[in-house]
Amino acid sequence: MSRLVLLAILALALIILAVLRARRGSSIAVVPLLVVTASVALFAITVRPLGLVAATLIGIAALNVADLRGRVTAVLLSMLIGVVAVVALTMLVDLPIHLWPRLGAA
Amino acid sequence: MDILSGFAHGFAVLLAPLNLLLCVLAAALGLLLAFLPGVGPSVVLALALPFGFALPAPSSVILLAALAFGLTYGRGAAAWQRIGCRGAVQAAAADPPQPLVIMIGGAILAVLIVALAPLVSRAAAVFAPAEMVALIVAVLILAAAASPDSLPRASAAIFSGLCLSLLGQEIDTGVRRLSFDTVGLPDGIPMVALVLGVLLIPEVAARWHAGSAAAAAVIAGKAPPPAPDGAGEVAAAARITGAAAAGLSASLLPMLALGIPFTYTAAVLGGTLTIHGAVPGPQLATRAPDAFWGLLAAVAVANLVAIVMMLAAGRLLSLLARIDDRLTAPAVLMLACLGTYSVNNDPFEVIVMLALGLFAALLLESGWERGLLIMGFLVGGPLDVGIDRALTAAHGDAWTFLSRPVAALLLAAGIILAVIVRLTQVSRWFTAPGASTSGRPRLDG
Repeated sequence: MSRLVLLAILALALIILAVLRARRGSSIAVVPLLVVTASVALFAITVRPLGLVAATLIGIAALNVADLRGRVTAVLLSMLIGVVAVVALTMLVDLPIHLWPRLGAA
Repeated sequence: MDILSGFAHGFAVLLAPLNLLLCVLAAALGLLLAFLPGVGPSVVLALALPFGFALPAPSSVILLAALAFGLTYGRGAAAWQRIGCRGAVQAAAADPPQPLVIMIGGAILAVLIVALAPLVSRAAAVFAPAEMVALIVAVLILAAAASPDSLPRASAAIFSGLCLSLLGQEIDTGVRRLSFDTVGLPDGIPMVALVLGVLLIPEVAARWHAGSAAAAAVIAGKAPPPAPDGAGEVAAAARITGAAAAGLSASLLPMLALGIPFTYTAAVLGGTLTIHGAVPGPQLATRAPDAFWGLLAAVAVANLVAIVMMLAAGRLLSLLARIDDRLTAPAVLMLACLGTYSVNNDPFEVIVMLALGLFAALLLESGWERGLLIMGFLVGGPLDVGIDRALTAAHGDAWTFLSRPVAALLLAAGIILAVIVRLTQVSRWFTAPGASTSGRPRLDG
């Protein structure tokens, strides 16, 4: 719970800073930060229950969803590159991370 | 161990099959990765940091040093490609043999500079904790003064890094500092989360906002040197590459000998050593001789491998430069998440990386230097321990930092140099009325 409070305080500080800057006339590019935030947060939330491959796919999808503009092929290619890079590195360095959902695990 | 036998020991460490393979492959990989758009040198090094956990300390630093030199030469090769040379071989043939000689000269200078590390290290080894504290404080003052940023902002960036390094349990007493009674982050902010967050999140976010000032700053920070024009353009590009290699070595020198990183590359290498329990500084050569001497030998071999690869693979490298960075950036972000998560298999650390990344993105928007923040974070631990030990030795007398002649001299030298640097900068601004702050060199990248 206290972790959430800390994160909420940080988020509040960021929002206040953004508002102050906006009032001064120099706006912050909020959308890119939100998109990256969503992507990383989704990875963090899903990596344990769903495994690395699914978490990577979800993370990349979240990163690309705001900037699709009809380039589905590019999105699919970036997903493929991302998953291959992540899985290859995990297997190469022998990281103790499960790639697939652990069915039946809590 | 004298210097010659130290180097012999370093080459013996490097010639172990795994280390030699890592050195050659990393130098080659660095050269290739420098051509990928959206993947700057600082990003590649930060990404490699967590995966060094799986390797022993010498292999890990050899990998990262070779990668850093490969990236440096790769950026040089990218500059050559942009000025119209289809490969370094053609460039050398068109303007023989000056560019190659200049570049090899840069490589030799790089090896010579890093070879000074044992000497500086020995000189600093006689320092007591009070002198080490004075030295670190003097360097921090100098770094703030030499920053192209305004003095208050540069000081605030360093101070933020120092504060972040204080989070977690105090080493001697076990008291938790700045923890707000949370159970998270018992050992403070993980170095991997900080480095990856601060370096990567703003880079990926900037891709979505190419027209903004932040993106321009990021791109300016990671772009290869500008293509020179005129008859000596190839020689100029080679000179830039050679100087960059020598500069990289120069940045490793204070990190290895004194434990004070000035650049991202030095910070990441210092972080790797720290993660493996070999804290950079005057004692590194005696406490972790394999890592210390192996790194020095790796600098020599990585320079050689990178130059040979650069000459041989010009056409392949030009193909890599055509890849769209929108394809690589998501993979880079996911690798950063994986790297942070893999340290403790803790999703919370990924969130910490994200929070620090957002913080860094805002700093970048405000024109702060992220390099100073990382520098403050990395020297925060040694500074904390040094102050503690110096005060214990002096029975709590804080005047010990001023009453010891060498410590006082170091502090005075730092302050005097900082004043000189600042006055020089101010006079330069007045004599160059058209110059803007964006035109001045930055630590970023």
